[in-house]
Amino acid sequence: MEIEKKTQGIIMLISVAGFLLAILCGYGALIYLGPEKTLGDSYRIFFFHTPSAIVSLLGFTGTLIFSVRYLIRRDVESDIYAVSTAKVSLVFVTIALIMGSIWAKFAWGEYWNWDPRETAVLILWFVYAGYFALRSAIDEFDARARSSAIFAVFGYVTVPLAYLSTRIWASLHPVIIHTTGMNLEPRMVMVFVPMIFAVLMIYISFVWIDGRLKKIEYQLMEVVE
Amino acid sequence: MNVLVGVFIAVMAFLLLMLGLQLTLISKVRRLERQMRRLKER
Repeated sequence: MEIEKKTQGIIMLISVAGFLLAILCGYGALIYLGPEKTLGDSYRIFFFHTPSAIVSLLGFTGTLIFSVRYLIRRDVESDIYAVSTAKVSLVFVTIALIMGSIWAKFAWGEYWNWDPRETAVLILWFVYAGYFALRSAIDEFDARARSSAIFAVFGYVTVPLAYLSTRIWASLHPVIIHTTGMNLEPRMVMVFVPMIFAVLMIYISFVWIDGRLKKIEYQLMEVVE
Repeated sequence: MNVLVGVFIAVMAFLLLMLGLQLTLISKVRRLERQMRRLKER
């Protein structure tokens, strides 16, 4: 009980810190930084789009880890957190897709250009939407958890595919993070890196909340039965 | 510049709304967990 109380306090702290940092970085991205030489003001979307995309891909990695853990241990908690990470990641990747399309309209002239990065992320989106369609189609708990865990393991192939799409195929999508460092001015890095942490903190809070609510629901079902 | 300030205010309002939602949900989790513990004790 003491540990639970402590965890709730920590999550509350992570949530508040994440949102305050995001507001601060939002100020940096929209007001503090000046317009970019070639892209003008449209580049500011990047400070919201890229952290959402990075965190969602990390989140889908969490789904993979929890799914593998479920297949090994067959425990309810792993299944619950596999679903929560997938759910919140799907929301974040949708935000990244929408913001990316808005940026593409300014930079490339069209909202959708079938660029390798856009196409790969759209495939990823459909795979994880399929994950939820699969879960809703199976009623029995074990069968649902096992099938969706196997689906998540194979579906994860779309995550490295989305990340590497700009390197494998000829793409117009800017590549910001290289193995040698970031292709950004130091002032932009000062806003961009904290924004990734802010979005990650918001993500963790949402996953914790969703996971806990599902856990309570499951416990309640057990008590009723 | 004015457009950017407007966008910033909109983003800030959205983030504060989300923060309110998260804090509400965290306290809901706290309440439900307490009730669940009581239910199990019974």
